[in-house]
Amino acid sequence: MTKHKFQIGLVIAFTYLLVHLLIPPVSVRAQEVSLSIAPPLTEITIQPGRSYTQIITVKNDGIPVTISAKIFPFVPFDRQGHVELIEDQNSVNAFSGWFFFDPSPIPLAPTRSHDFYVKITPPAGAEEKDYYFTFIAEVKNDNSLGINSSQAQARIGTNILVRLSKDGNPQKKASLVEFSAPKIIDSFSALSYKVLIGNSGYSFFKPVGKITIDQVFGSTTTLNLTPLNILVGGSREITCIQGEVLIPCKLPGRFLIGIYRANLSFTIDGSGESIEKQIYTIAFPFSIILGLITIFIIYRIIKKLTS
Amino acid sequence: MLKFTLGLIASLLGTVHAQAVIQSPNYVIQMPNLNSGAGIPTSSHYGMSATIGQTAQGLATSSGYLVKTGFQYIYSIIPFSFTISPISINFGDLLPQTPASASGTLTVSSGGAGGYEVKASENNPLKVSSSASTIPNTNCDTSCTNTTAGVWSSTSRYGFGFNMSGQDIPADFSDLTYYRPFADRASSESPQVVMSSIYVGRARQSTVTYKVNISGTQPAGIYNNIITFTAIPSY
Repeated sequence: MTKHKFQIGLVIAFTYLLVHLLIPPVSVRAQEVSLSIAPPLTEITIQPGRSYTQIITVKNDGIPVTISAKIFPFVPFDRQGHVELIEDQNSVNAFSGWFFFDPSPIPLAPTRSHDFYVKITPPAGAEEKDYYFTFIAEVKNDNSLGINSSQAQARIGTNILVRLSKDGNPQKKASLVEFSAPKIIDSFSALSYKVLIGNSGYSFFKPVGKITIDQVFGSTTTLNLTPLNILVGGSREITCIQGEVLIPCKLPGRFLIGIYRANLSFTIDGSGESIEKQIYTIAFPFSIILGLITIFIIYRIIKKLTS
Repeated sequence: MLKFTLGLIASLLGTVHAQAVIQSPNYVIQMPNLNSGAGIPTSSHYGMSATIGQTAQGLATSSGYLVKTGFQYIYSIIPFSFTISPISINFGDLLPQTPASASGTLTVSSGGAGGYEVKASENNPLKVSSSASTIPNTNCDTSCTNTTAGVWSSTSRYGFGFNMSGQDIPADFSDLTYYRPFADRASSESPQVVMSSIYVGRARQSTVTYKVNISGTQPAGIYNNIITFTAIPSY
């Protein structure tokens, strides 16, 4: 009797589960905020007093959210292209007349996107120089949970580089801050190059160039510099590029031996006078020599002990 | 029959799982080269002058501007994306000298950008909204700052802090015992980098482990704060 009841119970449980499985599934969403923004970078050269409107698209791939937009000026944070937002109200207010966009909160359902029309109008009397901004889309958070908790708030940004110029040709000037590599390396070590380029001109630019590495008695390898933006008054560590992939400026791994001459040459935005520098590296199989010496010493010791 | 029923239930249970409907196609190409979509420049008075992969040739006086969108070395404009999961970090009931931890993940795809950074800060320390009671930010076992992590394993060291593990994280998070306090914007502290890279990355992911430890004298209440994560592509 008891066994019979148990079996009936199992059948009921099975039926219950089956019914729930057959009901159309209700969307189960992880508590995940996922935003994307495009374009990731906008570079504008504009005359004072003129206007230009850029569309910035924010897409929601997570739970329903409400987003709002802000624009902050930024300064370079380091030599790697990262930014430091200037969020104090005075700095933000200083450029409030430059930008026009809808700052009101926008509800964004999953998979939906919103286009922000950002109209930029530098005042006619604004100084001709560079201005750097970051457009930020910010998720509104509710912090009224009745439990001990932290709420994670997402903000995603895209940078806007503004070159304010009447003729569109501000003076650009580059300086080679550093082009270096180890002077002597072991043959099995990688040969990495460090390229640091500074901007001592009046507008941002991209270095266009390459590192040509000649082995004195051998082949030639070319590493292309990534045309990364270098902002006014700063410097930037330049990576290399292969196809569309950013890579370290490094001689491809293999057995290196002999003298390697590396010639760095680049121009500003692909035109004008080329800036060049040569450095040399000697690759020698120290590890092999050390290994042979060690083997020889061990051999001599063993021979001495056995004789 | 019993075995059959149990087996069937087990197999059905095995198929029951959360059907995550969130789709994160991180690499939808939204705007191929010289195409339109996000990033279309418009002007009510002047002709469009958008270029991709070209160098500035000076301004046409009729338009008054020249625009480039995306990165010149990547021929497609791929959106920059950022995901936080989950957004609610629940610590449950806090017990004195019993650390409470909770984790979340940060995911960044900078396919169309040459690198990125994620910075973090808190609006204030964990705080009871109706009173001035706060759980102070951690100083770790001996010391740690907003920029330098320190070991925090003692149950008699109180506060609130976080650990980072995974990809593209700061080097000072040597292992899971290393913590930092969040930068406190209420005290005018600047947000600090918790993820960064100078290379194009796809679905780069890190784990944030939040930790709270209170003393026996901590006033009762519901403690909350907001941690802001700002993800920005490199320029």
